[in-house]
Amino acid sequence: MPRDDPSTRRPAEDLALLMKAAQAGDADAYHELLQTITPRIRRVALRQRGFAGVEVVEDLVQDVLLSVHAARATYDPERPFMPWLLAILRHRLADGARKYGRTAAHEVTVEDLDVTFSTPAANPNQETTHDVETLRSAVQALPAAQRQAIDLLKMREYSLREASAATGVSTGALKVATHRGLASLRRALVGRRGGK
Amino acid sequence: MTTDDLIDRLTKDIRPVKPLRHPVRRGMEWFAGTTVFLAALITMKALLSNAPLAGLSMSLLVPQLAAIVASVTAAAGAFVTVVPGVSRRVLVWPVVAGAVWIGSLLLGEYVEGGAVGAQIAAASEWPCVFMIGAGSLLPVMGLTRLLRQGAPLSPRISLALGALSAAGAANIGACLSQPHTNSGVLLAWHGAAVLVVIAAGALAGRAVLAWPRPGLS
Repeated sequence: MPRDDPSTRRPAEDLALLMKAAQAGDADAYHELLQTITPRIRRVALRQRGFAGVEVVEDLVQDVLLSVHAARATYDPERPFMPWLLAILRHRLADGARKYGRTAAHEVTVEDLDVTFSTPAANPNQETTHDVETLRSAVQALPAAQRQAIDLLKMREYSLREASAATGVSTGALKVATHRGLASLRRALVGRRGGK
Repeated sequence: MTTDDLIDRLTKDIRPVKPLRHPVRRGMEWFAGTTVFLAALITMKALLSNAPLAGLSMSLLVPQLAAIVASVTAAAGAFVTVVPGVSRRVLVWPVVAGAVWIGSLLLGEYVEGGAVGAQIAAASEWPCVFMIGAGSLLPVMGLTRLLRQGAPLSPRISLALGALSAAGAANIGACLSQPHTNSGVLLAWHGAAVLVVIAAGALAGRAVLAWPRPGLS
């Protein structure tokens, strides 16, 4: 975020003259005016809305500058400049607070982004290879009936009827064997990861 | 876009602008135009219906004067609300005048006595209601165009005040176009019509008066 420059503090009368010149179309005066008032606007916005974050504060500053630009014709050169600017600033800050309240109330912070993305950081090869070997050895360690049920129903994706026809084992027995096999695998894999 | 970039683009985009006239003066100019429009409207109605104008009823003089004051001060107030940094003390006046208007009608109803509900139900003030609604529309549209030249600091209040001013003036026009003698009837029918116009203005405020986004080159 740009730093405030103390040398930009100018007397209020100078700002009124700059604004009057800007109303007449003087681009240099207008540029100087906007550069001068921006740090002041930012200071007020930070004081009142600093909790919302640097980006939100800078958005507010830009909203105020856009409003100053849009409302140039409403400034009376015979009147002081700062009350005019502060009135716009006050209202834009209130608008910004309303908008922040509406959007923040419906936003959910997602902390664990890696789980949802297919980036390399979320899917390291080393971890994938290690898991396949671990799984294979865990399946090999299962009792024969459970290993057979896991192989047919989970690895080769047979239906219960097909697996029953291939092995001669009832569908009920296959279901029990599959359930026990999965429980054994879960215990074996959690135990191995915990031991790393 | 960084703020410095925005400043550069706004500076590049600058064109001369003429400062707006004092808001109270702009309000009075608009109100004068509205009065001319309503005068033309009720004159046309009188000619078409071949009926003379009713004139302000003496028994309702106080509330009708209060309505005129509310209307005039609301016009000034509407234009004050779109100028940043100007004191909003003037907004007290339409509130006070509106309170006098309602209060004087309530007092008048109390003094007149009689079966209030029956009188209100028996009266047919639909032509007046139509006059208030239709007579407010064009002035409020003109007002919106003028208010957009200012800063929409309080869009709902700005347009509600404008609607009050237009409806209040149209209410006087309606009173001139046909005789009224009963305060309760006036409060119920005209008051309700004016309130509806004000509510419509307040509801539409944010939609029609919004900060413009400059088309930056």
